[in-house]
Amino acid sequence: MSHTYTSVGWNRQKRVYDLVMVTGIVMFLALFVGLGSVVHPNATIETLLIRGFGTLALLMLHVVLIIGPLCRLSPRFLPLLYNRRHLGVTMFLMALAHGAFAIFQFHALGNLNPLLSVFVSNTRYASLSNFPFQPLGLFALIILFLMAATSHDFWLANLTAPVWKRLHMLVYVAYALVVAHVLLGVLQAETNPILAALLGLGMALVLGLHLVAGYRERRLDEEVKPKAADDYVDVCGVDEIPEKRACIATLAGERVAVFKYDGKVSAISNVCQHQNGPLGEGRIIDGCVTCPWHGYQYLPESGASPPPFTEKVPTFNVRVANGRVLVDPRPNKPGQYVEPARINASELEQKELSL
Amino acid sequence: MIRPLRVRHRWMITLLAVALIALFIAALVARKPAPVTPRIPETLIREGEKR
Repeated sequence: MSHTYTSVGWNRQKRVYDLVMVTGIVMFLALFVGLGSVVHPNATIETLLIRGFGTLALLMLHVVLIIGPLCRLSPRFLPLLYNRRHLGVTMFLMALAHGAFAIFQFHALGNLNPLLSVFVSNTRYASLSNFPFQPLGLFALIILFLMAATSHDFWLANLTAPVWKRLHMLVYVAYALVVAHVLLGVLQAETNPILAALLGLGMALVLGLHLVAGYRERRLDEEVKPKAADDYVDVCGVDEIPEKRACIATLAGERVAVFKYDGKVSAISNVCQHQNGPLGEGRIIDGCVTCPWHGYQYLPESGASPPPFTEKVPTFNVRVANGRVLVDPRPNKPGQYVEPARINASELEQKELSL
Repeated sequence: MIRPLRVRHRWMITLLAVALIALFIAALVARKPAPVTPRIPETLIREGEKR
């Protein structure tokens, strides 16, 4: 956890981000309703707003979903990850406005409970072209609500990162429901090929980027095995690690980050305690390993956050021999101090000569 | 331990890709052209005139 952390992160950067986002939302809706009333002069303002909010939520959901794989593919996109929660919660609010307006417009004026009406007004489940698409949207909205309501470090700390991540993986179920809602709803009535092409493009981006990033991650997850049960594992050459950065290897079922700094080498778990971010893709700042996702910090020798913070990750015994970094695959307790391996002077001289 | 979660994530994305592409194609094929009435039926015209 960084020294500048506060429970609600309304810093200047986030305020500017939110202001730009709200301005963009207002402009999008104004443009959508304005152009919509010209192209469809018979459409009511309610219909245009329902479609405007729905289109905006769909667009924002695509942006939220491509940020993750983009960051896995290139660190240049990491600043987008920093504010993804604000974008996600705002996307839910847009989807809620769409859902609430639609339920009021189409289901609230009869003698049935509007929510019940969503489920019983159309029961042609056997027909694809007349499928009751509205319940699909309602289920997606419920999932998005659960995610928006738990998008805070309070829930992350109380549920623990693995449980919280499992819960938030439901976003893919929500995405599938939303795509089905659009395909079986508005795209059955609106046959303009541009609309179908835009949805197809969005799907290709989301699914394609996830598949490419997943393939790369799979290669990283290939385990390096020791030759004997108590053997250290040859992870990489010392000169393969840039100064104050790490090389990552998978040992004993999990990724380990091996950092080089000030003529020393230390190994800690690659998994940040905050949101399980990849510590090995961060760098050492002010003597601390700094997570690239949200800036949580750990001392490389002990895997413990500097006081007053209390996060701890497991450490690994490490040594350097013949210019190679060797790591014991058995993890130490989180926060346990391990003497860093020294890169001996002759190896450093050799490296400098070769430069 | 988040490696099992990553593996599950990859499986989920692969399944999602297959299912959504299949649904996309099926939904577009199932589309029916909006019914076009060349002229308003006489009965409706008469009803309108009565009102």
